[in-house]
Amino acid sequence: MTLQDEKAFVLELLNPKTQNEAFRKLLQLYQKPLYNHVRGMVLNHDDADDVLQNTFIKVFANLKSFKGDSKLFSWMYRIATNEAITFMQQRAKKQGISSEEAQQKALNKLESDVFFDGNEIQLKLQKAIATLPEKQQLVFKMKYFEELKYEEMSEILTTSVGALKASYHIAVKKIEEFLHTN
Amino acid sequence: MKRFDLENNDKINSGFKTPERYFEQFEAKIMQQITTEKPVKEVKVVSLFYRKQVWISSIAALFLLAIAIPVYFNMASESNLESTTIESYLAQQQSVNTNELIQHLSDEDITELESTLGVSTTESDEIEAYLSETENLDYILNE
Repeated sequence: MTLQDEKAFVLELLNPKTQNEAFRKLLQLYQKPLYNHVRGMVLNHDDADDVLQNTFIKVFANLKSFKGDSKLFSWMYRIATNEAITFMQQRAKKQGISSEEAQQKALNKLESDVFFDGNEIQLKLQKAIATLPEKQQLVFKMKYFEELKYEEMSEILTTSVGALKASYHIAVKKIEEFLHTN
Repeated sequence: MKRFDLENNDKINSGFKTPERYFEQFEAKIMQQITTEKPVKEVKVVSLFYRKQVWISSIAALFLLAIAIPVYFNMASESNLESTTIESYLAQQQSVNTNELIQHLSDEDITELESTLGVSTTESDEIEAYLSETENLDYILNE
């Protein structure tokens, strides 16, 4: 979507007459990439479903305050990321454990998850990712699985492209090391 | 064992799957939520305003009570302590003796008492005579 198309699209989203159809289009465009983004973070399908719902409801509720300073795409990714992070923190708090422990728990459940391809290398990769610091995990997943461009990631995470590249390469090195030794 | 090379090896996909027709259902679910949410939101706005009113009126009620309760009790205590009431109470009260009563009398009370009881200076001799005959004299003189 070009910048001009996007401006017109945002206007459609704000106009009460065209709003519903525009929002349906928004859903069709972004529900899959945003689902993958959220699922990669929370791991479990049902949790991802909850977070994705909250994300789109929040997007809808806050359309008026979308100033167009950033792209619609990165704005939505930011909301989804924040929703997923909040969800994971609450999940850990509810169980009275740290975020790392909660992630480990979710990871262990993945083996028996019907909505996960129980391939050994895929599981191993997830376990390797879980050993990284939170931000590095996010950068790796967005680059490797979601195949986002550094420029896009930079807008979403408000981090410079250079820092993201460095972060990704460190993550790759650590993961390769983990896969090699485990 | 061969080293893993994430960049050059075949890509490992995330392995995440979704239930069948998940996205179609998701789209329908969200569309339903946002279309039914609109009127609900308006109601919510009204209810929030209403709640605000309740808050304001309950605070106002508290203020009223804070002012009204002391005023009520002041009035009540004033009206309850009519001098006739005190008098009749004291008259019935056996344990309060004359000396105790005297201690609570001010100079003004005494002059008033003198005038109402018709005690004048000319009669002071008679009083003295009376007092000299009573057993309490020592005590009164020491006062």
